[in-house]
Amino acid sequence: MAPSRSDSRQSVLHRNHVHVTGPADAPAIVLAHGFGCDQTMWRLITPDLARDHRVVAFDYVGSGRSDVTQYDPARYGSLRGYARDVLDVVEALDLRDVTFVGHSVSSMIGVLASLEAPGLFSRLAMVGPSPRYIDDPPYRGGFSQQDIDGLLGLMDRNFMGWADFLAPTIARVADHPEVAEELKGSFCSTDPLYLRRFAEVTFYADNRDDLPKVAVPTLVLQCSDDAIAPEEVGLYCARTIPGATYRKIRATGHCPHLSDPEETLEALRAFFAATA
Amino acid sequence: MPGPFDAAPCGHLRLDVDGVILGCNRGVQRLVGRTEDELVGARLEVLFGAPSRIFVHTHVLPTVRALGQVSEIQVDLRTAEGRDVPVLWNAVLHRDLSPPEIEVVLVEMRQRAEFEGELLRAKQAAEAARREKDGAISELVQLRKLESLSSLAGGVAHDFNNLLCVILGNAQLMHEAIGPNDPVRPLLTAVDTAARRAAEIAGQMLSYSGRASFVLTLVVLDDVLEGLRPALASLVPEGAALGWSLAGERALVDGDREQLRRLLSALVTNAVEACEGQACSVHLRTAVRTFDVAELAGFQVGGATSPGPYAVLEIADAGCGMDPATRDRLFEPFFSTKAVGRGLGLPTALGIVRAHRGAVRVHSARGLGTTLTIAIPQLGRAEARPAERPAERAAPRGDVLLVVDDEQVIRTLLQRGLGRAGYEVLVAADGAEALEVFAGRPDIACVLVDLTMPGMAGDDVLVAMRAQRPELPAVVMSGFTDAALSSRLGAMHRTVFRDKPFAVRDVADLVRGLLGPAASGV
Repeated sequence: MAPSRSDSRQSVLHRNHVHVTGPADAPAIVLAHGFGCDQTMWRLITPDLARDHRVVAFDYVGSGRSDVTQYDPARYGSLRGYARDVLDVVEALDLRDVTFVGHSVSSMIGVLASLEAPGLFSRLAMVGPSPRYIDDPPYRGGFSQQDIDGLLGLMDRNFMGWADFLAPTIARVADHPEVAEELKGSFCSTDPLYLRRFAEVTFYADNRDDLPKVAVPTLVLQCSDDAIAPEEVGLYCARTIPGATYRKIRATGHCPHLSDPEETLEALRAFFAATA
Repeated sequence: MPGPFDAAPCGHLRLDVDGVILGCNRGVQRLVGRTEDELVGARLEVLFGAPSRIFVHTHVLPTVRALGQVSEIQVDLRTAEGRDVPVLWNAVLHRDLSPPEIEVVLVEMRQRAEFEGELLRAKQAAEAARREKDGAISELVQLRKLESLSSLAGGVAHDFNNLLCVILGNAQLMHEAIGPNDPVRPLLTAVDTAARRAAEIAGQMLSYSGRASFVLTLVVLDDVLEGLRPALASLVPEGAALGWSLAGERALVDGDREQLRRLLSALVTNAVEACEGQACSVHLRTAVRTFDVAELAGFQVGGATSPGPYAVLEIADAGCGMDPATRDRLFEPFFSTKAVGRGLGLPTALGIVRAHRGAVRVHSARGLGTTLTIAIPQLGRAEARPAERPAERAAPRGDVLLVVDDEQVIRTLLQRGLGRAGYEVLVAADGAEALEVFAGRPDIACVLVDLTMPGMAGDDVLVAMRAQRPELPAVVMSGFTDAALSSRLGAMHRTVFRDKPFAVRDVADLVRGLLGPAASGV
């Protein structure tokens, strides 16, 4: 017998390992992780957001605890396939007026999702966005083609003995059950094969032409000294997206939601208040 | 004054959690060719080129922050002169310090990196070879399985058709034997109807096995779709959506119109059934696309392997989709996920696609719908053959025919039917009897011979007769069309095939076509 709509919904929720917290009737926030990790990246800001939002976190297929049997190389050969994952989750939970918070490459995935289904999203918050990582003079993305090839080579070298990369590390923290329980098999447990493909799709993407089409209020959250998405790139995004809000925070690096969750939350909440 | 780790045979670094260097030993300074003053207070990026910088920020630092430690991660340090130095990176996060610190030990691995580089290249080559081998084995296993099923289906259909010919023939003889109001007539009609339905199923099995007869002519895919539009629309339940996007006249193929209709009906029926219980939405699309070898390799089943332009038929449904296990068995005959389903629709479709030298690709995921893409080699206008003109049929002229079949019922049926059509019909029950009759009647104008008979096979009988009279017209009857035999006999002058079961009037038409003034060899 054919599955019902409810079965389809369950399929997506299982496939993308979707977690929902917060009051069911509160405004919806979808948190989308970036390249290299999974939804546990959001764990330091989720409890605060869930006080007054319905917070949805998920793993892209091929990342974290997603169902990798559903990985289709053709679909995930471009960021549009990942945007389809976002839309599938939003549709499966029947969400409306979604606030999309995307880290790194997910900023562009959010742009693609909002263009595909304009009615579903009310605003986008981009954490460390870059529409193109490779330089294309006069545009400066911060990296050369050779740099990205080098990154893929480095990943190959590290993943050659994948079992020695993270698994023993995870095993060693088993001495601290409270950490191990949360993290074992979850954090960065992405299969290297899918991760490498995600790297190619991410770092060879060019979404500059999509930015002017964004039609919802957008926050560009720029870290200080971000080695992946330099300030010049954040300013380019803010300039190109109609009416975007640019906010540079003190937090350094590329993952402010991990390194300075309080400041990240403050910036997000200020944006929510201004666009309420 | 030397620091505590300055004499250590490795690099030693202290970082804050944001990646600012708090301290470093002489080992680090030596590795990157920078002074302590240049390094302390700088951000971690000063140690790396771009590839390692991305890797450290997307993998290494988040892992250290989350798990408290990492070990044996390879990165390349970038020296002040721009040279890369491969090192192993081991780090631990001291949460107990205030503020917390990350302690890193770097071990140079130049020689090991070279060895590992060699190993990596060998591993990549071995993996590529293994993937190729696995793919080839899996393809071979699937191919053998399908071939074996195809052979089984074709064999069963052949025997079925011979039996159905007998059932239908007997039913027809009984119809003729009883009065118009005989109470048995409705029962006979029921037998006849059921036997014809069984013949349709046998026909589907023959299509799957590739042994059905195909008449290839120039076909524009869109014309077939347009012609079927009302019929396909009737397959879709009320309130459901059936969308169309057509390519126009460019989607030209060498195809059998009737079989392509059968293909479309099977696909739409399957798509509609996949939507059961949900809002039904089915979209048909034709297009012309150029596929290279790599893209064709992505087609799971079919025979198309040559790169070039293909006419593409795509059918997408928003139904329940399939898991990989179901998808792998999709084209197996008699495999069905439905409670009421014979499991012949898609196998039939596959047989038809194969007979058109095409290929099928299935994209489906549980809960996310299914898209079937069928690619058939596109014909350029220059390659298009003119449609064959049907042979003109002349009225029978009392010609003498010889029917050779081991089934009494078939002999009787043909004798009566063709006799009524104006022919004198002789019969023989096997090859030996047929040759005897043939030798005594030089006026035999045409022979109708069953291919599969005990003793002498039909094609041998025909060869023996043609040794005496090379121009002898012949109708070869069979439960299926064997491709090789068809090709051998088809090359003979004035020979036609007829699948079983058949209606006598169709056979009479064939004979008229052969004997008529405009008749010519096939």
